[in-house]
Amino acid sequence: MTAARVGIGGPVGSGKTALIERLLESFAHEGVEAAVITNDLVTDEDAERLRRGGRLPPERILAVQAGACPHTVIREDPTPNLAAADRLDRQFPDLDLVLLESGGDNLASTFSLDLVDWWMFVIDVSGGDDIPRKRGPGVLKSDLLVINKIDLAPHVGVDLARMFEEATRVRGNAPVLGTNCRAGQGIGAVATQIRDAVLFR
Amino acid sequence: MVLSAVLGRTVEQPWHDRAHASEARGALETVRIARVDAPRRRMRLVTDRGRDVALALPRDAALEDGAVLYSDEGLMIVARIDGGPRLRLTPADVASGLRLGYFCGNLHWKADFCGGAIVVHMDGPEDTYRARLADAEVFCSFAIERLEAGQ
Repeated sequence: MTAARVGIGGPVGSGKTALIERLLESFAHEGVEAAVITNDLVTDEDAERLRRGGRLPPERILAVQAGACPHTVIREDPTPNLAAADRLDRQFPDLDLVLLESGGDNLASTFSLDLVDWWMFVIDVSGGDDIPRKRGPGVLKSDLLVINKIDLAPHVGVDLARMFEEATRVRGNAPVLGTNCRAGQGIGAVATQIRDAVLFR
Repeated sequence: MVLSAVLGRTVEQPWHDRAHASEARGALETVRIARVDAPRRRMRLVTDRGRDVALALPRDAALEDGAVLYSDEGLMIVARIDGGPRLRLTPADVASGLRLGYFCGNLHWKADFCGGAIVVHMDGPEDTYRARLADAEVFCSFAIERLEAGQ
């Protein structure tokens, strides 16, 4: 089987790269062969961070530079990311999973299903507990909504229970999970979602 | 059960005949897939008889209505892809058409251009689409018609 493709989108600073770092640790323990494609505006910043982290061989981490609004290369014309994913498939035929990280974008950002099989949207507590209520397409249409930095809730005046309740309601009961990527909290549940949805393990 | 190939389509005569024979034996099962989800190459599905299956297709496989995903003597599984709800927007004049096309593009709507009309594929509540179109009526003139599956 060809590798599953999973998208990870969300606003700038919400913790997408940190989540990928933790997921790579989790998948490595389970023997899942993974690779990553990062998207940045005009740099390879996130790819370089992941390479420095050493969780994957550097050649399994590719960088795409959008050159414009990040959503343009994950939705309107995902050709650069499709080419990168195809290249990974050719180079590493035993891959199980390719994670595609979008550049940080706004709440309207979504992935084309021509590019990914399944995708998640990452927001964070410090961005404000009104984000789910604003009903952005990223929040509404993603297969999984991740609310990161849950440990910061008391420090930024966020009612976490209400934020989860509102997120679940606007998403029509589609899954919402909380994480604290820095401490590794909640990562297992996100990995389970990916395994069940596209890895079938 | 992992379905990893599109074996054919029921519009092709040999597969049409096999599907008919399977149905007669009570061995035909279908999986319903929404049009917006059809580009996915991996997903979990449940057949009309409650069988859990996992779809893991090659990237170049064409998942279309009538795709045969499994076939042996005792079972055939066929994909049914619904036409999906759509709105046909017919501009009153060229200027309206230009403005309307630009407007739909800015909203990132999935659309086809059909005989002078824009056909928008909805992947959310129709009310949401109509609310946005009400905004557009301020600066261009067009008719809205809901299209059902098969239209």
